[in-house]
Amino acid sequence: MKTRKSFMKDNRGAALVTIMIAVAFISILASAMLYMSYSNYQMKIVNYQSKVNFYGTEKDMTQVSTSIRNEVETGGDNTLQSLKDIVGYQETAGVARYNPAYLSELVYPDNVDLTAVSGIQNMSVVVGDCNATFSSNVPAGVSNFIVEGTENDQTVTLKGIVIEHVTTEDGYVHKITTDLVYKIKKTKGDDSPGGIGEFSMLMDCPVSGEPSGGDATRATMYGNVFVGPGTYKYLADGTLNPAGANALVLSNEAYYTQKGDYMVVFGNVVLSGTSVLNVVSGRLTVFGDIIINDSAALLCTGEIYFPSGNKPGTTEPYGIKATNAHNVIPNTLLTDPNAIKYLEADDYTSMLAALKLDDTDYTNDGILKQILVPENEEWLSGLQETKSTGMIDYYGVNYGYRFHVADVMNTGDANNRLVFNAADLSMPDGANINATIISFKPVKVMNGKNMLLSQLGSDTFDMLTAESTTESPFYSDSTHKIKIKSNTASGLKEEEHVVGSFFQADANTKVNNILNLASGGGDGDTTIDTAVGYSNWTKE
Amino acid sequence: MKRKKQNKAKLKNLGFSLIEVLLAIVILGLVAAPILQIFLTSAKINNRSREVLAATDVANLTMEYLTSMDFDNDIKPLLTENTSTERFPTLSYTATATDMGTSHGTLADFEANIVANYTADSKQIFYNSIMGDSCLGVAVKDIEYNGFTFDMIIWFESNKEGSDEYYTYDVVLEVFKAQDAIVEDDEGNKSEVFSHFNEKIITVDGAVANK
Repeated sequence: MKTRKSFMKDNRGAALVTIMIAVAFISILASAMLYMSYSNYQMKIVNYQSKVNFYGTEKDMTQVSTSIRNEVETGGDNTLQSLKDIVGYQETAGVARYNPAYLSELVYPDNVDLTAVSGIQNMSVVVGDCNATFSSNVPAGVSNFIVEGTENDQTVTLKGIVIEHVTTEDGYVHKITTDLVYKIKKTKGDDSPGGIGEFSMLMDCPVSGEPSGGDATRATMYGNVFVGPGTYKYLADGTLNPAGANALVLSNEAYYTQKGDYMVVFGNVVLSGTSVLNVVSGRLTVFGDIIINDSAALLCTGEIYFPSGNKPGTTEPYGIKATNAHNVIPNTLLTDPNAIKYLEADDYTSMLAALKLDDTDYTNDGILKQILVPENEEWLSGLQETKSTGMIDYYGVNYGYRFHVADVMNTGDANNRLVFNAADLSMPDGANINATIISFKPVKVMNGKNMLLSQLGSDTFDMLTAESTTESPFYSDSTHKIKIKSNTASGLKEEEHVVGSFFQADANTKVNNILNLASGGGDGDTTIDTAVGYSNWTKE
Repeated sequence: MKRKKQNKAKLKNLGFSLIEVLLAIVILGLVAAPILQIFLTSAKINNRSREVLAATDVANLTMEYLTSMDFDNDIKPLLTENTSTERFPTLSYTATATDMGTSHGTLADFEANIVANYTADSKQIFYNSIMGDSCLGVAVKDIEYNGFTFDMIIWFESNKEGSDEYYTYDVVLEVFKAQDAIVEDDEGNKSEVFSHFNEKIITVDGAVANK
């Protein structure tokens, strides 16, 4: 019998055993290596398939955003309604929501039956080997269709759009969540009322004609006119009440003729006595009422606009309030609903915003504060307080402006001038005055005066908004100072001031826009521009 | 006497016999061959993984670049001669069909050269092909990335319907192994062209807006 020790007496077969052990070891190594290589390859494939799936999901989002944009810009003037229609807008109890099923229809039209998806918040579609789910991550009962701004400058946000792709074959999942933000800008046609140079009068204060003693006073404005009430009247709750203050007041034998294209009266027009307001052509917009008393008359062969809707805090619309029908010629203005035009609510809202009258910060209200450089308007409006009677001369005879602080203006003071007026002013008599008057204080036409106020026109005011001292006559620097002469208690006093640029760079554009809004927009076609952006973009 | 017998027994077992060693070698050879094959296969798989990863990165870079732009405003104007040394693909468009050599397969009707840069120091010549009015194919050749060389075709297909002002272009990226096909005309002139019969590695599908 062989004992244990007898086995150890020889090593026959040791080589074989050694080889087998080595081969086994190498086989294990090789298997492990093969497995790791294959796993590595699988990871790379997963990475690739994942990216393919992601770009497929992103493609859906691009398709959705582009389709909506196309519909908004080509769907007509009512861009908001076009957008609402294409996203299946629904509003219940103040909660505004889009329907994700409509978004999936934009991408996969053959897979969606919109008649069956009313109210459904999520929609799954199967396309080929891909499941795409469209949904919104905004909880039910919360609005996910947000509208901001006015119709002419609007931002619509579709919040929480979720597109989830699942590739059924390989099981890869990608989810994109984003808000779609559409900025929609509508620009009315370019009827181009013109800039500051097209105005005869530009003021936030009233114009009046109150002759007495039987003298008639006549004022004819050939250019555009903007007059205001002096202070913009706000109700206790902060809403604006334009009809609460008078802006154009004619009495006795005053006779005002508007021949310019645009006349905007921000406040009431009050005609009494035997006064007459004659709108020969163009557009008269009154942000208030036209009140006709006694034997006064309103003649109109042009157009009259009022704001649509009721006066703030009342159930009464704006309109012509005449004691007698014969006071209004043609009297169909009183009875024919088509004879009077009304500003669309958005034009009115945009107008108030353009004049900074849409909020309770009362420090920047009015047309003058939008066009003048703030430092200079303080200087200009403070002239009356700091100077006694007299006039302001200007450096150099070729400059086309005049600063006026006296209570009476002579023809020579104003003719062919841009007049900055800082005193209660009675207009000069007689000859045609080719001028644009920018006034901080009320203006009236006195007894027996016949004021014919034209406008300088765009050529002369071509450099109204230039900032360079070498370009603009309406710029005062150390070389071109404003020289002020005034009569003081101690005699004639002369001072020199450097004012800088009078107008803001876009002043002409602003007044053009205000007139456009105040007259229901231009005659040209509406241009709609959109921009689409993503926010809160996440991917999983 | 007993001790002498034990020593004799020990002497008999010193070392391996030649037969044992030969047999061991044969067995080792028989078993090692498939194991070596496993190693080779692993190496091939690793190389393929790297190639797929590189191709994916190239496609990702290109797709990110394209999908961040509008077609009309940003991509079309890029179809001009470019001498940029930027790493990212900048599509350029110049020259005439006669500079292109002969066409091959579906890349018929060459219109112009496309010049793009993937590396800082080299400028490669590429081809494009107009497939009807709505589809534009741009070939990008000899892209070097992470030790690999690829060819790529980018297809833009319009989804415009009717008079749509805004619509999308489908963007399809196909990345191939770089390979040049030598073609010979009737006169024996040889030229090198891009061949779409190259081995395709990956395809990625996306979209851009027209503007």
